[in-house]
Amino acid sequence: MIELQGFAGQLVAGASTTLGLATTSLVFGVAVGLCGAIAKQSDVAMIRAAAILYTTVIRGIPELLIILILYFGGTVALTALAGRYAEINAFTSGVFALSLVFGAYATEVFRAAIRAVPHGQIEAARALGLPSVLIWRFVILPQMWRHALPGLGNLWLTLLKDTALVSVVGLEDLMRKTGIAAGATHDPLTFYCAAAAIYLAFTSASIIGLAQLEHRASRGARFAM
Amino acid sequence: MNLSLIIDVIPRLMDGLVLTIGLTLAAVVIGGTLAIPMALMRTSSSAIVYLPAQIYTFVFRGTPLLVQLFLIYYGASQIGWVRFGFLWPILRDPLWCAVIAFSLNHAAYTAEILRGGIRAIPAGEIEAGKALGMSYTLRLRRLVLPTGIRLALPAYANEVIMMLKASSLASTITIMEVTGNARKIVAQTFSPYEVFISAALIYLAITLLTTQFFRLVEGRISRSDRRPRSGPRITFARGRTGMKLAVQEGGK
Amino acid sequence: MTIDSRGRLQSTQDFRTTALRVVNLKKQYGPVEVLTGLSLTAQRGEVISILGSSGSGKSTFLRCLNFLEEPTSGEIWVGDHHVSMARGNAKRRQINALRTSLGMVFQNFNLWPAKTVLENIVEAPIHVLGLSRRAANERALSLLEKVGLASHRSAYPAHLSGGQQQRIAIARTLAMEPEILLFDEPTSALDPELVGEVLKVIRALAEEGRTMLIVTHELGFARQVSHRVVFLHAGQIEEEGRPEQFFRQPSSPRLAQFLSSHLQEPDR
Repeated sequence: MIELQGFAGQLVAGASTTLGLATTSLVFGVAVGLCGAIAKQSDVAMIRAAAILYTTVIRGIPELLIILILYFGGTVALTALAGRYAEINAFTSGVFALSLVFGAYATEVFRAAIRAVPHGQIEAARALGLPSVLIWRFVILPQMWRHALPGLGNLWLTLLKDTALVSVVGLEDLMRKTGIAAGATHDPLTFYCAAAAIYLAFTSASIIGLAQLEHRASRGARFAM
Repeated sequence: MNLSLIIDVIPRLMDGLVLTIGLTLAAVVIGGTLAIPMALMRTSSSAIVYLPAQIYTFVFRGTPLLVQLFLIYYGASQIGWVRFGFLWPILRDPLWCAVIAFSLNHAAYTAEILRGGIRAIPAGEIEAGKALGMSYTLRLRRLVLPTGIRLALPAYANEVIMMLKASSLASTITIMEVTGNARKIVAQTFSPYEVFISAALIYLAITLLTTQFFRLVEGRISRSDRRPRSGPRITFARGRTGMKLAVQEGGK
Repeated sequence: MTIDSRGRLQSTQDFRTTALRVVNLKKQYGPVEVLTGLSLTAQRGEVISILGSSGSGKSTFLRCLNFLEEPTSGEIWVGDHHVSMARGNAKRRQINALRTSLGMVFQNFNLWPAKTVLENIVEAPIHVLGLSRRAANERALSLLEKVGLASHRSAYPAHLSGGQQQRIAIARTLAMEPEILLFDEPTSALDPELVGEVLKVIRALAEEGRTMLIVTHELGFARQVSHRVVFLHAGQIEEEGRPEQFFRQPSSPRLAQFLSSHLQEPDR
């Protein structure tokens, strides 16, 4: 195994930051996406319009730019709020940006998944006089996950790779640690290859995990029916 | 927030627009050309043919574009034959590095999308070609590729928009496209909010235009799919407007 | 056998009266033997209907004739061109040449949905036979006239009924001027009220003296148009004969059972 000239520990630290950023953004992103999907189904035109505006704008802007806006803009906003110069932390702004991006795409995934729930079941619940909050909780949400899983899986893989962009605003993730090591050793080829291998390991593990998750989700469905 | 600054800055950012669009187009053209043979390789039943393409797409889709870009920009000079070969003048130039990285990346994604389109072609359509004595290459040229591309178009449109947005990564290797310009102006003025929002507006405009463009193309191409769904069966419509009418009657 | 510049089979001798000869054709999918040594000869101008319950191998037989499925072993002559087909032996060019001599009409029409009716028909004549667009258009229009759909030439398949689509598919096959026509359950995918219009076209072709092999479930139709009827069972010919005798006095109990279970079908 290559020694990586003593930088192996640094790369591992960076990789764990990368994973932390990705998983945190996933949690918030799923929440945002769910809200977005529910908003798009809303009876209130204003809420629907807001949701459409959100997904259109976020999906039309480069992820890198969103990260830059939230990092620098966040600093400006925080300074104005605090009344003195305050810098937003790269991790926080990264989570913010990646959750917004993930949420915008997840909105569409969830929306399609909601549509996949047989309409008759929702009508049946309405006929029983269930309030819509309960219909969401007991009828739509539990069944939706299975349909949403493949789409969310793809978004997770994209998210994992998008975390590398946060290195541009100084987050000490795998990408930035690799850059530092490459600069210090004058051996970018080795280090970027190592970084690529680590990212590839993450995505491969995710693909395997997702396949198992999907398998389990569909097995559950068979029992449920 | 300074609204007038947002507007003032737009013309200055537009200087980078040519590069943004140029980079995207280069990646789309070169990557798209590479993607066609790669997608065909992926549909082969022989492992010697499909494995290389599969490994290629797996690696390029499994790693961040930023890593690929840096690997080419910073890493290529370490390889002896590159350093002293004819490729060196190209790989020394950040613009070329970006074109290469984007094209290779775009090729991997497009190959997967095209493969999906080809696999979605009903087998009977190709069998009809076989039964009429069409050779493999003729079927490819006249049936498989046109239909596969048609079926892959919606997903491909998304990929082109992804590429357009990804071209902003070129700013990390000193290229002054829209994002690069924005970062330069931010460094000079330190009004990040306004400048980046201007840049965002520019991207939003191009992505919306691109979406619209593909919607138009899809509309043109899917003419043959439209059919009346219910009501009196209208066998076929000669004019465009007639067809639209039929669809509206059938739809509602 | 030679192949001319357009890739069609050319005979080295005069045509004899045999249009198609199949000897001991076998097809295996893994361990499953679908065709277990099938031999059949068709004279020029002969119309042969092929009956059999599902799984008897009738569709596979037709598909093996033009190599949509590769036969495991056996021999095929079209006219008096012998087509070599030991595994890996049948060359692509040879297969393509064979296919232009055999016209296939599919159960599901298999029209190209993105092409208009006219484009569907002229595609192969232009690109396989090398016809000029004008000549191909002329040929297509006269064929459309024949199947009664000339006014639909610029429609797309999706805008047509199943019966119309199948008539277009027949015109597309005829445009290649094949020596033998193969029909693979041409009316099975159609609504009952559309079957008649397609059978009418096939009957007209039979009356022109074309060589045809028809896999069908329409017993009444088979009885009317065929010179000979063949009953397949387990990948082999169980019984064959002239229609009168075949339908009236089946000698095989399996055929008798098949016929009685299909008796309810209306004659057409």
